[in-house]
Amino acid sequence: MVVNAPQSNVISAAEHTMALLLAQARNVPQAHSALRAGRWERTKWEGVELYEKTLGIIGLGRIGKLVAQRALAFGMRLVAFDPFVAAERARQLSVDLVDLDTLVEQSDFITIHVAKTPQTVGLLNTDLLKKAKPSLRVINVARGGIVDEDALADAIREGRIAGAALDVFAKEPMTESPLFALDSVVVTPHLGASTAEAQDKAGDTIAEQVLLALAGDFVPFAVNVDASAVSETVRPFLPLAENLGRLFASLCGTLPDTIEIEFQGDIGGYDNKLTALSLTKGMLAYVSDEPVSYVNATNIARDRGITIKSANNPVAKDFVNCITVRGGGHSLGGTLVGVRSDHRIVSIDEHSVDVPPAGHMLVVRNTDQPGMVGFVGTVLGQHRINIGDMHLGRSADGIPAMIVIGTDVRVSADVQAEIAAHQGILSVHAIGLA
Amino acid sequence: MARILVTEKIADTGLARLRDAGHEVVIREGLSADGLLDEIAVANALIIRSATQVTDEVLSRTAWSSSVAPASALTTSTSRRRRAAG
Repeated sequence: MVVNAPQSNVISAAEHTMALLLAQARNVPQAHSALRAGRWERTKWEGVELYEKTLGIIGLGRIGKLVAQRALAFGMRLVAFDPFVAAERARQLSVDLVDLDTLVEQSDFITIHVAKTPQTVGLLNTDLLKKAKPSLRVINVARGGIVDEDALADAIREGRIAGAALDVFAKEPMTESPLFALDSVVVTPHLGASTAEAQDKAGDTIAEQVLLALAGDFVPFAVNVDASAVSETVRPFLPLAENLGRLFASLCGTLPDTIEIEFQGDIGGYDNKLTALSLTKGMLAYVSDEPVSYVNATNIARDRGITIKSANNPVAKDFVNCITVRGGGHSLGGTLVGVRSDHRIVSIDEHSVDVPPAGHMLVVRNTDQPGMVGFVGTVLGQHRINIGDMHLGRSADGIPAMIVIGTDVRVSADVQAEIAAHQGILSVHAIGLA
Repeated sequence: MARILVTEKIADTGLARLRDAGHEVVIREGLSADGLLDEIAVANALIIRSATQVTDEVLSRTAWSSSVAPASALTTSTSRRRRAAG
């Protein structure tokens, strides 16, 4: 069993963000160094106020929310980009949800609080920084690499933005960066979680978890679930449920306020509390900036204003067993097949399909007319995207009107848009486990 | 009672809880890769931070890899390594 100590450091990370925000705004480290070197430089280190400035928060998860609350006390105006947070939930925090371009255009300060994923590496890049105001200052206390460090250094050197404060770097330890030569840059060596309190909390949590595990009790922060507590019938469905959760999150883009999970067939006759939790965990892990475990999944869902409803239905329909998750106008169904209990997606948005979950998949809904499959295949080919496998989904009346393609790499937004613009294509979604 | 191997700096209050529960806490900071292979074979749990590399080989040496020993745990802390004071 593997357990961890999540959330021990969220306060420390939020407070370090504020420390860098203030240090950046008032040039504290630079002035400190100058004075220690015997230079009384009052004009050189003139700063800016946080008051009435716009703070753009990329990622409004646990840490982003704590930063929002603190920045609000300084009288800052808050905007945030987080496709997985409901607008209503953001409003409760006095935050306006905006798209990423708008956030960069409006912000005087940007702070990043998203997990490092293939989608977020290089998120703040040259193109995006071109949209920034000259007053922009960028803070990154999340993970290295989400900000393109070279692009950031260029933008600051050329005066296109005002400065930056970084605690994390693409490569660590980092001791030589073009950023270190710039006067308006403040840096710390990954100190976000380095407080006595965070380390004590981590130690206490770990000790508690180990004691539970050694005693054979249920371990809340288990990364891999102790399956012995689950019935033999339900156990193999836990990883399927987790995969369905991830895929559903990627299908939805923004998680809906209400999510309904149905357990149909044999498993519908068993306790599915842990199966529903497993699906929730997978769904939130896809969108969250913090580690999601079996115990905090429910709390994170509640924090994000998401209601999870779970229903058992022992009457089998098309499959002996089927887990279906619905919400926000989307649906996804899955089952296990064969002696090895392989995972299969059996429905997407109420279309019947038969596809193994994969790292990268493209789901295209189209009108039922000749040339659709050929068109999609040609576009992918032109962009040198290799197709791993392909299935045609059928709607309730049996008409093939969905194409599901497994691709070797993620299909970019540009290519998705190119496909979506074609006559007869109704929708395009890139989904996947990766 | 269990033998808990700790290879990195973990807060004393946490370690005290483990000892108070009657477990043997074995602290081996800066253990070599080979040393870890030797120690893991006689431990019931391992607590690490980010520096210790738990490889497949390390896992294969654990005495608890089968489901026969449910009362065992490999545990990790997600928090970053903190410089020990002094």
